[in-house]
Amino acid sequence: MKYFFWAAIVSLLLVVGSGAQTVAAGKPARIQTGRDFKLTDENGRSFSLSQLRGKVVLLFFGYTHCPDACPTTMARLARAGQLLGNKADRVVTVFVSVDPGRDTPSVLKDYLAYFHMNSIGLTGTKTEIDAVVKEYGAKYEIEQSDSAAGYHVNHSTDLYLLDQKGSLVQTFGYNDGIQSIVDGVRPLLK
Amino acid sequence: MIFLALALAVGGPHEQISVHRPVATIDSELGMFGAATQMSEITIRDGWLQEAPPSQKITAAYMVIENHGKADIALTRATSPVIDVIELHKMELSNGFMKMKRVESINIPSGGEVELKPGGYHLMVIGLKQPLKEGDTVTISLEFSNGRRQAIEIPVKPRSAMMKEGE
Repeated sequence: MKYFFWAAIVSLLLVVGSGAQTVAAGKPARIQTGRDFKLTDENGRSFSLSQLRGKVVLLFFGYTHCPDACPTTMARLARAGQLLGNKADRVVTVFVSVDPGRDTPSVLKDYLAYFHMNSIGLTGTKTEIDAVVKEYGAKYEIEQSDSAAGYHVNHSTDLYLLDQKGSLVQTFGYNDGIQSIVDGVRPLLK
Repeated sequence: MIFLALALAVGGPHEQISVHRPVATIDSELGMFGAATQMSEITIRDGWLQEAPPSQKITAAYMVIENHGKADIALTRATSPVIDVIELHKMELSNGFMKMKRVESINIPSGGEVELKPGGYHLMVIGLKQPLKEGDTVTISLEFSNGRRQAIEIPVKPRSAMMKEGE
């Protein structure tokens, strides 16, 4: 909760002194209702967010070549699922790729299978993905580098909690721990 | 269990491992090379390579590097027989935005230590030549600005096993 407080302060400062960067990450509730969107799921099927009505959704943006932040978020969510026990089957993690060039549905499928959790991986055309990124006030940039890994993707790390009606309930910052996530989700599962 | 001979990292001045902790195989190496460990200015401990999903060829490796010498020393290069390329990278979180940067070296201050850890510095592991799973160990040869080279052997661990309290 301490982190949430600081995240709020930082967000406030961002709004007040918003300079060159237009990072929206950390600003909770830019969307009040999780408007529907369409992307392609890890099985290559068309997917609408509205298909998850009735489920609690934890949504974030990432990419499978991500060495650090994404595995960390996935590990946190897997642990949060364990802490939620048998109620975890009413919670779905939605991983929205911001790397459509490499993250095909089958790549996403293999990636998510590793984490053994209730999850959906989404990809699409850049235009489709950009629309969802904008909707959530997230941000990413593809950075070309001389790295042997080719380009990498810098991205916002917020985690969005949507209730069973698809409304945004809370946004978790990257430094909010597993317990914050569990505490946010649990009241929705009563 | 993948067990790679330390001798795989060839050439140049070469110190033997000084990895503290994990796995039995490393303990036995420490027994053999304990004297070399004490002579070294650099001590490396708590190393681990993050297990990657089977389809992924990219991951990261982490460790704590201590410098007991009288001068700063920089980590400049890392190689491994089972990895195509290792680069030095740094993550920077700013306003919730995570940026990754490649760095030329990582300075270890005299009398201090640097922890390579999630959210900070890591060895960027690019191109796993074979699948690496929990229970495997990996040899990585580290090169420092003073010309020293040190081979370490670190365990492969899933990220979930390395979560810290409150993370």
